[in-house]
Amino acid sequence: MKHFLLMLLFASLVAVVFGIVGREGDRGRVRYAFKIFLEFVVVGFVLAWLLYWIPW
Amino acid sequence: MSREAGEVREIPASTWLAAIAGWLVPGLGHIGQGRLLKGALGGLAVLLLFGLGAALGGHVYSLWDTSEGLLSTLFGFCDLGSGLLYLASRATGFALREQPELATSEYGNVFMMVAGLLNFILALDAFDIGAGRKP
Repeated sequence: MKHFLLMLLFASLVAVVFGIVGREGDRGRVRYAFKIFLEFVVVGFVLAWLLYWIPW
Repeated sequence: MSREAGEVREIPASTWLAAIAGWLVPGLGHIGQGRLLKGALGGLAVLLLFGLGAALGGHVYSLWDTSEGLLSTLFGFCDLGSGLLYLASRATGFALREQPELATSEYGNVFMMVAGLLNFILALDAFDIGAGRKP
């Protein structure tokens, strides 16, 4: 659980910076940051499940 | 807003200053340009990543010492992005020792490297804003 929380924390902090430097304008900034956050979490889950089935 | 091909635009000194200040102190480049919220949020995110990384057992890499492997220099360059945090860490010995006995030490290393890389991006963003390439 600690690892998952760390991943969420990492994703949220990175998403904040990406939202700041994005070119989406002030209105789209929050949505873009949220999208980045979700992408980190979803890709993290997918990779974790894929690696789970690899025996080495 | 179209520009002629080959046109060279003069970059004002304040733009370079904003980029260097942003690299040295996370968020300061944007704050100096009057973008307080952007600078504060970005700076806080970088500081939190660096601090959490150190708390998790991460350490900063040297730019020159390759005793931890050839990639150490690359990792050191990532850490260098944290600016004064990196320089102070190297000078004072804070978070310099590798702590492999901690299960989260590799997470910590990644947190600290990403903090540096994100601060590079923030500093370059401040430069682009100062140069008029971004609104």
